[in-house]
Amino acid sequence: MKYFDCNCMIGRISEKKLFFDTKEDLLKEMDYYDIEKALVYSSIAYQYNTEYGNKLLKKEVGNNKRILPVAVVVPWDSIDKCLSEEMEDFIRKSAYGVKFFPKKSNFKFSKFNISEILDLVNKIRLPVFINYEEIEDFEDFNAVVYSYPDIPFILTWSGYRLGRILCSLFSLFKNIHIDISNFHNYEGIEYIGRKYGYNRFLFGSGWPYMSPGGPISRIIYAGISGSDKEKIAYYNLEEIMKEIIR
Amino acid sequence: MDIAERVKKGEILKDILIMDCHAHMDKVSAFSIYGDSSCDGMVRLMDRIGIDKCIVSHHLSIGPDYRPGNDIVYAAIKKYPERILGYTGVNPHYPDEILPELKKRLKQGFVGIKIHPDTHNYKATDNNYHIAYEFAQQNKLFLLSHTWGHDTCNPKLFVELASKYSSVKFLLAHAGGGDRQGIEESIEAVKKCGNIYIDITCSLLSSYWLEEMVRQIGDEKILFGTDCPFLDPRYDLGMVLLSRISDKSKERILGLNMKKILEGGKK
Repeated sequence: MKYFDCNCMIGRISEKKLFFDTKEDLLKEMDYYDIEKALVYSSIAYQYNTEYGNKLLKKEVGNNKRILPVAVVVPWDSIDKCLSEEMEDFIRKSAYGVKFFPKKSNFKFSKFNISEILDLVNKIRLPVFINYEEIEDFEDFNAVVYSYPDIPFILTWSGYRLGRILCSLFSLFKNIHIDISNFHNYEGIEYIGRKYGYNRFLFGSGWPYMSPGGPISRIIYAGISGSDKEKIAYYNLEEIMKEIIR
Repeated sequence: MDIAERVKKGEILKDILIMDCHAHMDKVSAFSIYGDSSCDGMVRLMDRIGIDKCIVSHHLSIGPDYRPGNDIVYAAIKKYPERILGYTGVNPHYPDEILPELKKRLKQGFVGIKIHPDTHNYKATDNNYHIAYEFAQQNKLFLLSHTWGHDTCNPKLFVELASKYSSVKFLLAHAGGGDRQGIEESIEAVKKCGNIYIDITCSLLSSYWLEEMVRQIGDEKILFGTDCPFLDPRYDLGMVLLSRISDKSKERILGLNMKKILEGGKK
C-alpha cells in the first residue's frame, strides 16, 4: 500500500526541540514508511511570518515531486490588501493547499475576515487545512464551509475530542474531511465511514510531532475493504489534488 | 521478513504475544466511542488485530463509582478468562472501602490495582492511597497509575513510592503525559527504581520517543498499552510495530515484559 500524507511540517518550532525538522529527514521517513507524497507546511510560516516562511518552504521544496508545499495564510499582513501579491502568486502557482491558524495568529475563521482569501482559493479549488483546535467558533466555521461548497475543508489533528461534533459536521457538509493522524476514536473510521463515506478520511501523520506508524497501522488493520483502505491511504487526497485548477 | 515488513504487508501477527497492559471498558460521556466497547466487542477487535490479552479497569472505576465498575470487569474476566484480566479500581475519597474492595477482588482473581489521581483529584503520595500501596506490597501486586504533568500524578512522585514499596511494581501510565518533560521524568524514574515501568499508552507518544526510551533505558521496563476502548488500539499498536527498535525489543514491549510481571505475581 502506498500513502499520501496530508499533514506534515518542516522547520523548527519555538516551544520544543523536535526529533526531526528538515526536508531530508522527511524524505527519509517517507521512504521508511512507504509514503509516496506529502503535503508540507512551514513551521516558520506557522510560528513566525507567513510570507517569509512560505518563501523558505518554496525554496526548500524546489521541484521535488514528493513534497508538495501548503501555504500558511493570514489575512491583512499589510494594510494595502488582504493578501499580498506575492502570497497570491504563491497560492495560484505553487501551493497545493492553504492552511490557517486563526487562534495562533489572532484572526477569525469567518467570512468577514477571510473571504477574499477563500474567493481566490475557491477559484483554484485548493483544499483548506485547519487544525480542529484552531477553530474557536464552529458557527463561523460552518458558515464559511457552507459558503464554499466546492472547497474541500480538511480538519487536521482531529483528535478524540472532535468525536461528538463530527457526525453533525458530516451530516451538514459533504466537503468536510478529516486527517486521521490523531483520530483515535474507537472504531471511528469504520462506523463514521460506513455512514458518511470513506472518502471523508485522509491519511495524515502529523509529522514530525507524531510518527506515521500509528495512522498506517490504523488503516492496515481497519475493518473495511482493501479498496477503501487504499482510498484513505492515498487516493482520497489524490482526487482532491486532481481538482486543483492551474 | 522483520515485524515492520510483515505489518506493512497487512499481516496479523499471531505468533507474537501482544498484551495490552492498559485498557478500559464500555462508553464514557467525555468522548465518542463508536464501536462495541463491551467486553464482547473488545475481544472481537482483539481477535481482528492480534492482541492476545488486555488488563482492564472500567471507566466507572477510574471515575465516579468503582463498585459497579469492578463488578462489570469481574463479569468480563469470568466470560473471557484467557483474554481479559482485571485491575481493581479504588477511590481514595472512600478510604474505609479500599481494603475490603482490594481483598474481595484479589480473591476474584484481579491481577493488579489501578489508581487515577487525576480524575479522583487526589495526589498519588497522599495518605489514602497508601492503603492500596500497603496491600500491593504485602501481596506483591503491580499497580498502574495514571501519570501526567499534574501535581497529583507526575512521574517524580513515584520514585518516593517505589523506594518505599519495593515489592510493588509501579506502572506509569502514559509515560508522564507524552510531552518531553513527562517522558523524561518517567525515564528518570525508571533509572532510579528497579520496580518502576513505563506504560506507553498515549495518543501523544510517537515512535521517535519510544526509540529514545529504548536507547536510554533498554526494552525491559517498557509496556505496551492502548487505552482501548477510550482510544482505538491500532494507533499505539502501529506506533510500536512500525518503530525502528529491534524485533526482540518489540516482542518484549508488546507482551513478554508484561508476561514476566504477571508470572512474578503468581509466585
